[in-house]
Amino acid sequence: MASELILVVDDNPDIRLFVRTCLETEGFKVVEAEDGHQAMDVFRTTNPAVVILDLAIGQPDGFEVCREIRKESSVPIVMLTNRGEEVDEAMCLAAGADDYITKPVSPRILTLRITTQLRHRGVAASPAQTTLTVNDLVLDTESREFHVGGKTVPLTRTEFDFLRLLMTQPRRVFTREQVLEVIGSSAEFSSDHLLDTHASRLRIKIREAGGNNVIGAVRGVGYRLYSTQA
Amino acid sequence: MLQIDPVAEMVKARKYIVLEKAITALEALEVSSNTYRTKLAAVAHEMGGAIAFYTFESEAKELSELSHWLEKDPDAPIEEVERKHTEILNLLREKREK
Repeated sequence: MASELILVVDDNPDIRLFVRTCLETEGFKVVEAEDGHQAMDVFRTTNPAVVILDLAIGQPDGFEVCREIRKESSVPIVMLTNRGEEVDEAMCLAAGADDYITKPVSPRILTLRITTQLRHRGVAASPAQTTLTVNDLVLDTESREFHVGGKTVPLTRTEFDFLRLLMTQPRRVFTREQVLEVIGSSAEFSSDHLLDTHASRLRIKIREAGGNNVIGAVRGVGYRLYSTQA
Repeated sequence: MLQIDPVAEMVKARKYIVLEKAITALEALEVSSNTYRTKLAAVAHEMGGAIAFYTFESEAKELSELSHWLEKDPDAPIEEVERKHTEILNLLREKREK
């Protein structure tokens, strides 16, 4: 795992150097980009395992680059934001990011976050069941497509994996820790709102596609799917 | 055997270089320029992000606050902007002298 290639996008060379040193110390390979255009070029030519993407990189900004990468790939994207920046989780997740880190970050936390994303990617690469169906929701784990009543609904990687977990055992309550593990985050380093944001966005997408709200929150425990089957 | 932490070594070797870059960037801003406020906000944002990684966390916080203030209050009196600009520069210079 440690020899995986990581793309670091930041307009400040000293931040790139810090991140590079942290990652190379742990055995990762690193490629860099200093702006959005270069990021897309390097991304397309090197096919990194994870992208670490600063938000304020000029134009196009981190959100735009994130959306652009998402059109082409489900690679894990970790956004870097400045402390106190008026950017919330929802904006990062809406752009298609899987996680975000507030600067500055310690080498240990940085490496943990990246390792978690990579571990998760390994899990996602070996689905056990190809199609999951609950009510009018159909999830194809091979093509990673999601349909509501026959209508295709685009999901981010994190949303897809969150929903897949719930659909594997409808009616079962999954704890927040179990969901965090599957989506490639950890309870220690994730805020309480992270999962609520993912769940909320999933409900909106399903509703907009004409489906019913089947994702339920169990107060103090986690999430479950409300199903008329199973 | 004493183990060397490459990240700590790199930070130790470069922290004052990074601090100097922040000082230089702030010194280069021209108050008379039409884009003074915008550039000050951008420099404060970028350099605040950078020096935070190199052990200057409290100074980074001051820079971030300056950047946020400029974004939230774009019509703040120019004298106030200049005063804050000078204050943060002095703070960074003091850190350099230590």
